[in-house]
Amino acid sequence: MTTPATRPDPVDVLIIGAGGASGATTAKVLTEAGLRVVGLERGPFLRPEHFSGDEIKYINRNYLWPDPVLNPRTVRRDETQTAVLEQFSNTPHCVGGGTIHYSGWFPRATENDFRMRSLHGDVEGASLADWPFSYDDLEPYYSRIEWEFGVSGQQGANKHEGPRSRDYPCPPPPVSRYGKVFYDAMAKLGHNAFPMPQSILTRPHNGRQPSPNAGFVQQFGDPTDGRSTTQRVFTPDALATGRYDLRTDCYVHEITTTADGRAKGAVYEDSQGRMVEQEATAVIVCCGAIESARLLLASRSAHFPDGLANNSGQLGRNATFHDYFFAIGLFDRELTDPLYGWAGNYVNGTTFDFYETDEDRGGIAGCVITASGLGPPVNWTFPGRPTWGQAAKDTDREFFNHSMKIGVLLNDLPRESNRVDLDPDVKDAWGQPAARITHTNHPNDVVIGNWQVRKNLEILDAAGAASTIPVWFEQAKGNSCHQHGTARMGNDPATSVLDKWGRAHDVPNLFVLDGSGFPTGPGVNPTLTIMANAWRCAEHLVQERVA
Amino acid sequence: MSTDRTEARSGPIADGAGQDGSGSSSTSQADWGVVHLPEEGRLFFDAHQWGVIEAAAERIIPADHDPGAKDAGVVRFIDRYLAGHVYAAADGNGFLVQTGKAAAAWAQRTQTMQERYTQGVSDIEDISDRRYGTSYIDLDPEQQDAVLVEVSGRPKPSDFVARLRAEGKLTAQGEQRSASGVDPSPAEEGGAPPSNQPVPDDALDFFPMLLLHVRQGFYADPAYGGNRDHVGWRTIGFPGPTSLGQTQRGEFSTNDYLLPELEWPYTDQ
Ligand SMILES: Cc1cc2nc3c(=O)[nH]c(=O)nc-3n(C[C@H](O)[C@H](O)[C@H](O)COP(=O)(O)OP(=O)(O)OC[C@H]3O[C@@H](n4cnc5c(N)ncnc54)[C@H](O)[C@@H]3O)c2cc1C
Repeated sequence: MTTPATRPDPVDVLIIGAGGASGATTAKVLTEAGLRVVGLERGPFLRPEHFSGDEIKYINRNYLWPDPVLNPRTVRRDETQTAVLEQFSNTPHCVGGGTIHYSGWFPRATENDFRMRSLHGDVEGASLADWPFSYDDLEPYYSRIEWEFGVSGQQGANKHEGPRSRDYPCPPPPVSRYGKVFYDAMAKLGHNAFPMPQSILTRPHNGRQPSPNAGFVQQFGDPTDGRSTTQRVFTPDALATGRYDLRTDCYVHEITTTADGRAKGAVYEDSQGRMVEQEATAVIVCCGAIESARLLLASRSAHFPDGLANNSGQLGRNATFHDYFFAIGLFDRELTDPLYGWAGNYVNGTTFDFYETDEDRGGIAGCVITASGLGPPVNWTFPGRPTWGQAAKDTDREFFNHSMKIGVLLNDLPRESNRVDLDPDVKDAWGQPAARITHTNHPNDVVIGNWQVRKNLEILDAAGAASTIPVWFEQAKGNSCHQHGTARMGNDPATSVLDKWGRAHDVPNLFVLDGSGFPTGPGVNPTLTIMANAWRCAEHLVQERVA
Repeated sequence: MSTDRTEARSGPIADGAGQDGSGSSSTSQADWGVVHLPEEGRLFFDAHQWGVIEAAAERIIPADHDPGAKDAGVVRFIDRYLAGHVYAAADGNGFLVQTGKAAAAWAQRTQTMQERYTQGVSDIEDISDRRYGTSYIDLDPEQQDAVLVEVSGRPKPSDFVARLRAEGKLTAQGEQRSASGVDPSPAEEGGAPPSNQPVPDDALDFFPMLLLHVRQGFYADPAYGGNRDHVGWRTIGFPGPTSLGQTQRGEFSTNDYLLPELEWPYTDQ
């Protein structure tokens, strides 16, 4: 450890990774309850005026994605291999974290997502576990986040959703033309389909204006009020209390501990390159499931030789990442009106009809699917697209407005061997060991994922596609940027890292409140669940302190 | 995408120099300044390299009843990028001046791509000279294509739309569609559309790098120097904003291309 140059006064709570989904939620709840909080965020505070509809900047040149030269990650299939450099399941470093450029699919997990072990028992090669709490425990927090974020959705449309205490605050965004094609096909096949709930305002909400539906959504920062991110919503709430000291461009290298095994604070490099140690009564880690595991593993001491909060040896294990692949449809312009895949908010229709287990599919669990376009002009493509010459130009002209895809979000099963640890050789630009991901999908993932691709091809066929093209699933590429499970919550300290309130079993004043604690999936996009759980745990921390 | 892991073993990377001359000590991305580039003139390529890339780009996206890469100004788009101008300012006026470690990382990537282009142009010229005894710039289009085929090491892409027509999947005007269905073995070419994954280009070989950059220059916002007068967007029917500033101000909308009058379940099937 480098000796810190400065030691500011201790505070009540230190949040590490303060800008992201879980960190900003935690900051809001704690500061509004009267606690003095320092937030450390390694990225900058980019403002709405930094953003615009610039495809090259956001999709091709990594303006928001972490720079791969500065932030290497390595990946290998199993313990025998040497990991290779690969970008895997990244989220941006800035105030807003991963919410800054998401398209904000905000579905709730279903009741069964919390009891995968009870439902399926011992599945060979998987490490299924129940959550130490239920959907009902989380429901009030789902509603709070939905109302804070002004989530748009259609009450009662999802037949598979658990009970909800409140309706959506905003109606769904306008249906797109490709969405209409999807709905018609789903109706024809007898399936329930409905608008994907999205954290996008469709009417004025809490003083913010609805989205103009500019179409630059997925991977783009939003210059307007329309998309709800933790830069737009929770960070300003926390700052408004006057009790929140948010320090941006501050990269935490290590969590420090006291001689009796409590968390003392953190050492970080600030925007001027100075090393600073900030002490606090409680330390909360919210760096995202990969980076939180990495930071805890790097925070070794005599008391914690295998990394902080890792007495169980489970830290970094049981990681789940989802993955995203699809079936593509090309349509005949003589027979189908233009689909305008770039219009609206990136996705439209979804269904949960394939989400719950149906053994006839050849495995357990299932997937959410969603209709969308093939991307904006530069990045619009499909396998088999000619890449140059007249053939390429003709293809672009023929199908740019006559193509769509139906995506599959894989609900991957956890395995103890799928994990995050520290790469022994590769270091980042600050000299810190890179996260190394060891990952091989469970065979169930491949069976269920490809069953769903085939189903999506059928849906496109029913929709009247002239030609359909599968993008099959073989092995996760980390391309959904969903990450969970590296520090499981559970009641038994021998088999889990955190208790049901996100507190480390081994370190009483250390908490991890991002998706690290999730014992399984959920099979849906996780951010709403991550934020609801952070709120639930932060509220408990406040109540305990007061008691 | 994976590269040789030894490249990352060097550990700490020093800050790169900012060139905005503002004297600010902040290296935060939030404080990057802006530089304005001349409308005309070359920044990285010499006149000869400019001519070769411009000619090759025109074969990659040729003019037909719609303009091609040359009319779109694709070579200027590439020239600016290779000169280190990576990000347009949010309103499209000028380019951001990076500082800190990001500047150092981009300097490394830019150098790699400059070397790739310098070598690529020289290879194109060598092949042209060997096959036809003259510069690529002076060849006729068929000869130019033959050189690109040799550079790429693969046949020229065949007519995909015509193939679908021949298979009966697409109708000619007024015809009934006779077939549909899965393409059983889609070629690797073209790749899958982007999911949430950055798309780094500096690890590409010269030819795929050129293809990517020509496509980018044809379809990117005109702020980058290509897609002049939106010719790329008009070719494919993308209405696009009039400027990046229009999107930054929240004044651009795609509502005209949506179906706001429809209500769930959106179907009468
Ligand atoms: C393109 C894209 C689209 C997505 N779309 C969706 C979607 O539609 N729906 C959905 O539910 N999810 C989506 N996601 C996933 C979503 O972004 C994540 O689930 C969510 O951001 C996770 O929240 P988090 O708090 O765990 O981490 P993050 O939001 O990633 O926040 C972590 C923060 O910690 C900071 N940090 C990390 N390490 C340190 C350190 N050592 N010191 C200081 N700060 C640190 C980071 O800079 C970051 O700001 C998407 C992700 C991407 C990349």
